[in-house]
Amino acid sequence: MYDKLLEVCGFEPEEIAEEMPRIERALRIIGIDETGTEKAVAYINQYFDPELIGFRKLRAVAVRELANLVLAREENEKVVYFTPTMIGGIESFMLSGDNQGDVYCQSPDLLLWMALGGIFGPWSLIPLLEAAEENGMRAGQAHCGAFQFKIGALAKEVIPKPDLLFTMGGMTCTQAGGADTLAHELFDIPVAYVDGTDYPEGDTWPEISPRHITYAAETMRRCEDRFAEVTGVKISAEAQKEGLVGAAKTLRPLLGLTEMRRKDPVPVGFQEVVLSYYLGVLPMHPDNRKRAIEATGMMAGEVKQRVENGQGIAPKGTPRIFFSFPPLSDASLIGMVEKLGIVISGGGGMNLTAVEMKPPTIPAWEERSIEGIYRKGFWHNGISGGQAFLEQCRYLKVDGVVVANTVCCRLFNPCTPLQKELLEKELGIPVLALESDVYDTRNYSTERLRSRMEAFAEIVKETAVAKN
Amino acid sequence: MEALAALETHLRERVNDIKERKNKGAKVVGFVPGFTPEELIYASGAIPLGLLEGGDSSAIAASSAYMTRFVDTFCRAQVGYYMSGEHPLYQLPDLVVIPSADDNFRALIDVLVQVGNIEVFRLGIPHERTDIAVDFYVEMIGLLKKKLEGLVGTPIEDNKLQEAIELYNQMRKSLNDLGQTRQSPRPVLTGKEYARINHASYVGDVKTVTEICNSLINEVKGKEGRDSKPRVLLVASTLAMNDYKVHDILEEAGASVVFEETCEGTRQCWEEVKPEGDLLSALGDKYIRRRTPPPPFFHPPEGRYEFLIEKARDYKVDGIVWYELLYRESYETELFYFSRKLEKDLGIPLVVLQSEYDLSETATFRTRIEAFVESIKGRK
Repeated sequence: MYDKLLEVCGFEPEEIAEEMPRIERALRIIGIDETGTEKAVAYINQYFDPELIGFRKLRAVAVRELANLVLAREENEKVVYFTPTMIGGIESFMLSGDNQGDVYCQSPDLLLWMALGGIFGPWSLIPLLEAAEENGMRAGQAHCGAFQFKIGALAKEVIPKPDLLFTMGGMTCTQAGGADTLAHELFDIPVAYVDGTDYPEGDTWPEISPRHITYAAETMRRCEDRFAEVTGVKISAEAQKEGLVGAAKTLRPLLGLTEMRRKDPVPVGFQEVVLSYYLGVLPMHPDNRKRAIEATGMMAGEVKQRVENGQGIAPKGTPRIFFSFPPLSDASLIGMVEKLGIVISGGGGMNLTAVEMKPPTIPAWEERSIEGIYRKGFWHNGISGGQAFLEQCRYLKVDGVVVANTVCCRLFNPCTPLQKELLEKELGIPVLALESDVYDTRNYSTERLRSRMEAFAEIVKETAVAKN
Repeated sequence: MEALAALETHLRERVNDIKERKNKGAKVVGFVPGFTPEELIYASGAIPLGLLEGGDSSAIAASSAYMTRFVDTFCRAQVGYYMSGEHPLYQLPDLVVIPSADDNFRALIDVLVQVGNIEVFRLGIPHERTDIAVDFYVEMIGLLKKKLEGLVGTPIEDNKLQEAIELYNQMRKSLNDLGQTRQSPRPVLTGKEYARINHASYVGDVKTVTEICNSLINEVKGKEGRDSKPRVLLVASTLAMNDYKVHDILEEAGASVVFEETCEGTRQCWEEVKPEGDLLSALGDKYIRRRTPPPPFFHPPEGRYEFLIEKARDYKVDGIVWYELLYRESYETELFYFSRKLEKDLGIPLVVLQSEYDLSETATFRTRIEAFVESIKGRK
């Protein structure tokens, strides 16, 4: 049943023959039936660039990692999950499969979003959302969809119960701690919390107060001890570093890709790049990591070739926009936007800003990891989030901005009206605030957003013509 | 009751009283209750002014230009009160202290810092009761102390802080004693009256409110109400000042709130500040380490469930009203597992009411509350 699906996901015939039994078992546990398979194949064929072999290979990496997650309990001694924040420390360690011993580490929230929703289509996530809604995360309450995926997948036993859950008690996001406390109450999963909070000098971003960093770092060290207690694996500084180096090998070509999107004409679609980027930052089994490095390298080479050939997804001179948070599990929206005579130049926190490139102020591993997160701007607070968008828009030299912060994120979303005002004032270009829930397609539809996007695209085009 | 009439008079005169003192040079420090150590503000010589108005749909409407709608109702309302310029209390402060307790309050601070035309002190709140969390909080209130000293132009002496701690301890004790009178089978004091004096304790003058509270205790002590009513435990994320819709409907339906647990809106008066050693540490000890119960956004919220069970039994409650403001997700998530456990352990009904301060809610609330009260009566 899954042959065609694996084929469009970039598996070679011999890989299909060899890996099918295991992947089939995982897909059956997830609940991908015949109809789901047909829809997924059609979705991939309709929305993803068929010529990028590297991206096809990356889809195969995602499907393999999905199987690794679903079968983690039977294939590993210990299973540990963490909330997707990229907060370094433990997570850096987890990123490297080589260092994990017999411990499977994953961020199911993000992997399910990317690999299940992002590749098989948004509808494949709906059963997880519905299961979460029946298990303490009711519909209509603006719960974060990422956390709902995890709770729903645990409730449906799509993913195994971990031995430990790492989460944020308060650092960057307070919804995470609540969702994972719910996981503890419902499934008796031990939870370790990295705490953090605001600081009176919280409005001086990009300068981050040292105490703001050290408090969170202290709680992170406590979590590292908990990890060692549960798994029997002590996290050394070397292992953390190796983990990050492994992830960096995947990320480097991806960062190159985001840079190549600044070229004119834009050589590659936004959906392909953003999905690759987020898949690249996830922990992986060592074999899969090797494949990911190869695939991203191949994809970067293919796109570079397009640049050299002057080949693009839109004509040279097409106006560019910044799209703050794209719906990674729904390619139809990005597809629709890129057919309106504009291209998406950046968004999703992919472009590293100058602030992020600065050396850390505190050398210890945990502190530098946390400082890196806060420097991201939108992980710091709503004000710095707007400033980070502004910096990215300036860097990308865009002609318009769509502030599409996901509505259920109380970290990114609350200041959207003020972010819109700031960007309009500072950049003098059209800015559209688009209310959407990037996790849950039941709350919006591409077609419903079409008329607003069409009108916006016209304004952007007119502004770009007037500017030039 | 005379004391309650005196309370209303004090509240009515409070704005003019503060304005007069402000004109004579006094500084006014507004704060969101819950984690703000008012003792420090009082000791600085500034006037502490709790800002916790709510229940008003126009404030929600006024917030929409600055903030998206998927934020806790109370926090949105605060933006509305500040930005509309229509609420007199919100125009008085020289500085506002807002505890950044969760993402909702961080959003409120972010908006006010950008467009509020008011100086905001962002009081970072840790989300656990460990030693490192207490140390962090103590450092934060150390920074607040410096800020206040800068505002008033004089240092906060230890003896002044000691005096303030004793005053607020007395007020907490009086409120606690008053609240406990509702353990009687036919309490004289209604839930709304108790909520009102709690709110006044944030807005009013600490000495005056304590005196009124003590007078009220004398008025109700040894007395019994006329009827034995269904007894309700109210759990609320925020019980804002003038948000008395639930109390009104419950009382009209013949029930009475005898105990309440809120994150913001009623004082945690079961523990006092121990005025010994380093006084900032003593405040940290009360506001974080011994915070009883911890809010649902503390991780893990150890002892929170046991606290509710204990109080439900002490106050012999017949039912629980879970009053949640829309998008305060910590209460919403907790509700799922608490409601199951509470109904199992106590065997009493629980009703969930969710509010966005909308006028249209009243009819739905009335229907649900009346059915809830009837079901309690049916069980008796």
